[in-house]
Amino acid sequence: MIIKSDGTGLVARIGIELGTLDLDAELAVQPGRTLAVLGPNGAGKSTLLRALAGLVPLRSGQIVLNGVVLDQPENRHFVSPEHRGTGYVFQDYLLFPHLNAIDNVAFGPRVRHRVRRGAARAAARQWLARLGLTEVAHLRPNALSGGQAQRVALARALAPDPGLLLLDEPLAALDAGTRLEVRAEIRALLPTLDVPVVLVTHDPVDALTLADDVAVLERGRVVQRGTPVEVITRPHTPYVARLAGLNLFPGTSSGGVVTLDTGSGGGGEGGGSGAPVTLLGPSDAPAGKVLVALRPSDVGVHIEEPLRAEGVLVLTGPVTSVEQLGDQVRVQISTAPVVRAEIPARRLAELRLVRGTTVWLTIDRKHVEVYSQTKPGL
Amino acid sequence: MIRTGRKARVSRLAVPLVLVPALALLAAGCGSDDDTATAAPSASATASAEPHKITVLAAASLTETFTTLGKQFEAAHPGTTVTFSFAASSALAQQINSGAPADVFASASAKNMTEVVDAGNATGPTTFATNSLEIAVPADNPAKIDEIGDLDEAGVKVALCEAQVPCGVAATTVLDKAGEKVTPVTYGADVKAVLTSVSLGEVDAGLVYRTDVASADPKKVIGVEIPADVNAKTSYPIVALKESKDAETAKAFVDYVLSADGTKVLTEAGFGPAK
Amino acid sequence: MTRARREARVRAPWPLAVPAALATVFLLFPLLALIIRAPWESLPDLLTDPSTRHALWLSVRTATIATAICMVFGVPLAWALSRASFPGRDLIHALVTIPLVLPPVVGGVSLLLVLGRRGIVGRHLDNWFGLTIPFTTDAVILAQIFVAMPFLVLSVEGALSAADQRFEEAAATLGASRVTTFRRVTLPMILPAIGAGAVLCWARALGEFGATITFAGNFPKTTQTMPLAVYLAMEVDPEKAIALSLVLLSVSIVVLVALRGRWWNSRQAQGIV
Repeated sequence: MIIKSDGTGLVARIGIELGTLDLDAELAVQPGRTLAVLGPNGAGKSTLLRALAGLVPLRSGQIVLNGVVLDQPENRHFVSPEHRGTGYVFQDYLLFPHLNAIDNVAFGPRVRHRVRRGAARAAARQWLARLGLTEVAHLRPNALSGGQAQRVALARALAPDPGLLLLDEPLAALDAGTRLEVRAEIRALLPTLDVPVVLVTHDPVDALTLADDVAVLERGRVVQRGTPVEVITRPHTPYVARLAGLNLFPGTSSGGVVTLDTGSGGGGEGGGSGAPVTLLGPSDAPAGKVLVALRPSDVGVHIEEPLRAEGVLVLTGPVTSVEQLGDQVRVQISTAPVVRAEIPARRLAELRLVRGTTVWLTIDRKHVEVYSQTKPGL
Repeated sequence: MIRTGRKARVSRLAVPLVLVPALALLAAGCGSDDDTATAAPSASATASAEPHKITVLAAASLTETFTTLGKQFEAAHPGTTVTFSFAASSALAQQINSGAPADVFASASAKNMTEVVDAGNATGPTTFATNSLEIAVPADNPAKIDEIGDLDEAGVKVALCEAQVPCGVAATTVLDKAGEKVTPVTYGADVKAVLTSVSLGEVDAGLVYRTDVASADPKKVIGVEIPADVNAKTSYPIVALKESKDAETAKAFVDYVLSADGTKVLTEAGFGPAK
Repeated sequence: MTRARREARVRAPWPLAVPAALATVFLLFPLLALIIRAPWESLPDLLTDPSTRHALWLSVRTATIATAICMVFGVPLAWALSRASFPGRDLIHALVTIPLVLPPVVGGVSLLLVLGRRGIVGRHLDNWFGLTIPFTTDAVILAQIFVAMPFLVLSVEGALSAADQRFEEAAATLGASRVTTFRRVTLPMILPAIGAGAVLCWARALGEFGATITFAGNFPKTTQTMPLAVYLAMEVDPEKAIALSLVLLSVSIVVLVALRGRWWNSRQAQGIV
């Protein structure tokens, strides 16, 4: 039985309860576009992919691909994985150990389209050639390097012409050098595929470089959606802010003045309480509940109280940690709210900061991003 | 018990693991308790009697009679325990010549006895009984066996003893004399194996000793006589073995088998007289 | 680190080494005795004796057929026990291993009660088809299947449980049905275990005695397998029994050694080890 529905691409609401995981996420991906599902470990990313592939049945919601309903528990409708036509690239590839690269890739065409061995191999050979794997076609998986295995896995998933491509942490198992290389290849490949692609990752670089859209999944819920640039510049949760390396302060905006929530808000690190902290927002700041994002490198750090200036917020507090990051030093200061600042290593020598040193921070309105807490598209 | 992972699993396994051998020990223990319980009073009755233990190796066809004789002998000789091992005489002869510790050998054939004597393990055996063959058939006699001539009919399943064991030798003799060419479906390792096949109804007929038919459950096995002129008479010799650790008791047991009391038990079981 | 470990492995502490050495001696000495006491001079005559040839041929033939049947039915059973979910699975799992610990004679008696001429099923086979199983070569094979199947099932089931089921999921996403997945992915991956199980199964079938003599009886060429021949020869001609035992021993060793080497290589080649 095939249940038709309107729409193209992937439209899904995935409701699953599995152990401690309570997953309820909506997704929509147009053909030719790539959605990155970004989230910390345990957020339910893999389960979400498994549900799309039919390896885990939905408890509620539905999955519709190009108008065909794949899973709809309320109608007891479920299309089993072998009939879904999804290409799945597993995190650890799961290449069949008893088959060489070409037979791994030919497996899908043979079983899905009942193509003969010869034809399936010819198709497989084309895919291998396309991914630069011709030379390793006759090697067994255990003889392949990580990058080669990853590409074979990709070729295997694509060879049967899937209607949906699922990538589970496709680069996580690779070493740093290979990761760059494979990332570039996948980036070149994805736009050429005319199917929806769902990519699951905990690495923001993957999400930012490979995806057209990003959905941030935390504890089973989508907490933010948007283009990679939107997500990275205007994070909505401390998790995303941390990934983006930004300070994130919740607050209230009124008439161009933003009052930051001190205490339990912001980065969650707790600041002390005290007088309300306000700063002048940019002229276009929205009114109401807002978030303020600030790059650590835009925070000025001083050991003497600076002169007050128009549009500059001054905070003071003790240093709680000093951490070297290449030629930069990340300093965390227990102001209200807690602020992370980044200064060049050279400047650290001048300031001689140690844990407990009282410093003054300057935050210029030019550098803050103020945006509404209401999450667009949610 | 709730199944909660490994721990529960182990204990689930451990219970039968401990329980089974324990039960087996218990069962075995009870059995030996019974033995000592019956032996003990008689031992105390005649305080002077020392405990004697002998092992008697006897042909499988002697299972019932010798078990009876053993009990009677124990009653007559307080403090004495007789242990039996019943098997094909040929197997027993082999065991004796391989050095199996035993005190008395009762064979179902002179041939196997000769083997033991020739090997120097005994001297001067005495024949204590004779036996002859009979056709054992299941009680409902499915193949309608009325005489020995019926055995070679097509479709009749016959069990014989292995040609090497005495009842097999006797069976060959009988069939030769009767001019029957019988192809059995199986050769029993001893006469009791043949009788079991018959009593289970797995075969239509088996050539066994008269005494085996007599000892079998008449609801399961009945006998068909073999005429004396084609029958084979086997003799049963008995001897005390040289290696016996208790030659006196061994001889006493042999004497008991040859005594009037012994002969009575044997005759009642269907054995023929020794001479 | 690795080196220190290796050295530690070479030297076993004596509370372990002594019992281990004793166990080795105990296991090997009887086999050695068989070789020492073998009647080497008359061996050629004993071994070329037609009755020996018949018994050996019957044993090899029945054990091979029994193993083939065990594989046809045992591998699916192993699959069902490790993959499928159905009521009473744990119970069935426990029950199929019973023949492993059951005295084979008891197995023979049980087979008689079911398939004997008066058995629960055998009665009808006899009445309706005139088919009787005891005392036939079929009975030998059935007895061997009964005692040997658990070896195969346990070996294969162990491998299935240990195998990463996500390979099967990967096959499903590529469009393979469960049967195709089993045939093209699961089966090749557990092939070494099937081979190991089949050899154990074959060796057990070759050595089967108790259930055979009870259920199939003893008749040259049709039901008298090597172990029966050994047992019966022991009564009349111990030298022949030793010679026959020697044959069984060498067949077992040859098969185990030859196949062991082969899996080892194939497993390494597949990177499954």
